[in-house]
Amino acid sequence: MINIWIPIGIAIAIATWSFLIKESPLFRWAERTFISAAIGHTVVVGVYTLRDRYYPITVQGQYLLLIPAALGYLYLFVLWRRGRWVASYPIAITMGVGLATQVRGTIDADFLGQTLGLIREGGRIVGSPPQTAFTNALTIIVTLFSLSYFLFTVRPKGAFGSVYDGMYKLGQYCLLASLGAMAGNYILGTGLAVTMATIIRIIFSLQGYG
Amino acid sequence: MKKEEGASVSIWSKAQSVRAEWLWLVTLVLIIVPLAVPPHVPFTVNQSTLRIYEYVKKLPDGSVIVSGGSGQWAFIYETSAAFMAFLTQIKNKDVKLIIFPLSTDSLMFEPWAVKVTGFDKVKEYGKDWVVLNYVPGGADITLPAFMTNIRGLCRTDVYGRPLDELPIFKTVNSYKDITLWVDCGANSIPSLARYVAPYKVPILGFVHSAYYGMFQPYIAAGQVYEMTNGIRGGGEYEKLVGYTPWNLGTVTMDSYQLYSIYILALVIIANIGTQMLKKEEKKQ
Amino acid sequence: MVSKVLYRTILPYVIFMICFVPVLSNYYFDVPILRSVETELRNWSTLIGLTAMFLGLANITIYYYREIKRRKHLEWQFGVYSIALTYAWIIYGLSQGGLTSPAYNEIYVFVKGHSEAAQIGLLTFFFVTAAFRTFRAKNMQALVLLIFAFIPFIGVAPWGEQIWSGWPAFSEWILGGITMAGSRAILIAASVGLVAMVVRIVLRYEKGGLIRG
Repeated sequence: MINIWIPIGIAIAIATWSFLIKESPLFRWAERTFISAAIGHTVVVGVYTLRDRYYPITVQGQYLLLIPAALGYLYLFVLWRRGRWVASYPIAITMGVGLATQVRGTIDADFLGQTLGLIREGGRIVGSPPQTAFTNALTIIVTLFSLSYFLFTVRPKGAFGSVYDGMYKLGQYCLLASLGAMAGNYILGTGLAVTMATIIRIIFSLQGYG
Repeated sequence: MKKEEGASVSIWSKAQSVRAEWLWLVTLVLIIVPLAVPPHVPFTVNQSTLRIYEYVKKLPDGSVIVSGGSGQWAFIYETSAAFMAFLTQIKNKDVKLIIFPLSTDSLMFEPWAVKVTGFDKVKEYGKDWVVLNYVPGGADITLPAFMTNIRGLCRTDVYGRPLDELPIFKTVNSYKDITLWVDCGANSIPSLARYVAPYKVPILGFVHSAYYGMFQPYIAAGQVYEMTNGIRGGGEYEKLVGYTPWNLGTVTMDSYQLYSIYILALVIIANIGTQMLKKEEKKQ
Repeated sequence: MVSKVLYRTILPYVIFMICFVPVLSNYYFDVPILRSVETELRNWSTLIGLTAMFLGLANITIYYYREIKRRKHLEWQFGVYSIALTYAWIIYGLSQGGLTSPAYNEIYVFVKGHSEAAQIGLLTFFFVTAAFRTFRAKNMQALVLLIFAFIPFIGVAPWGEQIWSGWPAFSEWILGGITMAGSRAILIAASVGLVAMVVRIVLRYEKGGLIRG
């Protein structure tokens, strides 16, 4: 028996790529199919997640959790312009917890972690093999110059001001080098890999592997 | 002489205004031809992929691995090559795998990867591997809770079975019981560095090539053990473990051979053309 | 008027602070009650976040309904198709046994997976046009960007190591050195920016996500 979803999937992929020839109702069909499928999937996951999240209420009898369960439905007021303020209540709770967690995690991992990493690299300049010492020294210089680019408050004046201006200009180039390398690494990345994956899946499907 | 100059200008100006459709047609041919006639281009294995391979090889028996990452299905394709090679490597090891999806697409992708690699055929569900349900709220809310009390955060698995009924959770409930965290979701490394790394759980990342450079500071700071570089890293990992049923990395490297030369040629032609047209404008 | 300000602006802010302070403090102070408050608040957040998964459905239904009402040629037909497909997907998914059923997995992989992958796969072609039209070294900054873009670009390509066997290692060194340093600066700056933003929200200079009435 033919699996009907295989030819439908292939048709969707080809309809999407028809955009390269011309934007057409065929492409819009594929686009709308994707959007509908994505939202439908989120809702299906949501229903099964409900079962998991309501488990403490339904099975373990933790009725206090009925409060956030009810508060969650206030989220839907976002869609009603005049009643939008009602959604502030559940948003306040998730924002409070989320922001607090993010702040502490960011300070610890991003700010302190990276600063300590920088200091440790500085400590490894002396006594290391020449290549390691050079790399560590270079990364420290590039980091400091790049950081000077993000100083948006008081601009130093006088003798240090001209040093800072030089650091700022070099920092610009350091950031460009860094972003350029990231971009160059990306060209192989997602686009080609996903295209190849789609083509391989089409071939596998036609060969009956599903 | 003037006619020749006029002809060379029109060549460059014609080259600058070539239609995109022709460029795309050549692209399509260049990526499909290696599929039909695979050249099996050789490429070396990077130090970073080798380190990951060696680390996983040395995992002690009874290790508990958590595979947790977020991402969209299409984007995860890029990291799927490395993830499936990883699953192939641990398939025959005495390890336990807990899949903790951080997005609705990871919830579908990781079990699918398990089936494609045949991991589920050699491991018993509930005892050796389990798929937890998706917990809404984002990594900021779920990860810290997961690390301290897994059963407090997740009540059932994806089949609706309570975690207390699953043998794997008789000995696993917090960061103390986790040996390794693997991110196959491509861009969850910052969240893992913030909420998993402080508990000294080693993290391996199979990341997008776009994020490989961006997440290097986490490796330098010792928060992440190592990462693979997008699809190239996937191809290298596949090479190390041998054939995987997916083999996307190896196939993509074949196509990239011609694709990359083509892009480089286009950039060179575009830049030379720009300079030539500038010169002509100055002369005029 | 006063009561409007109270329940539309002040009360949400008070709730935000009631949730923010214990979760932040628990990280820095070892107080058992803070730990249990944080655990409870996290459970509350996951329950609240659950409804957000259905918000998209409500939003898109309203959007497509308006599209159908406008009766613009071809758009209203797509509106009908989109709504019908969304609800049919949900009914199919729930009736076939859900996320773990082979039937749902099939439709997910072949329909959603293929459509999404094909959309993202278009990038392959757009990169080519972008490379041809925009990767031009018109000034020093663009030249630096291009040079550093092509080092890992060639390093990742198999033919790069045929030209020079040290190219992959050199590309790794660039990514692990200069790129790492630039990313580190961005990370540090972004973390300071986030803390500044949170301080502004706490001091009520920014409303953030708290919607005003």
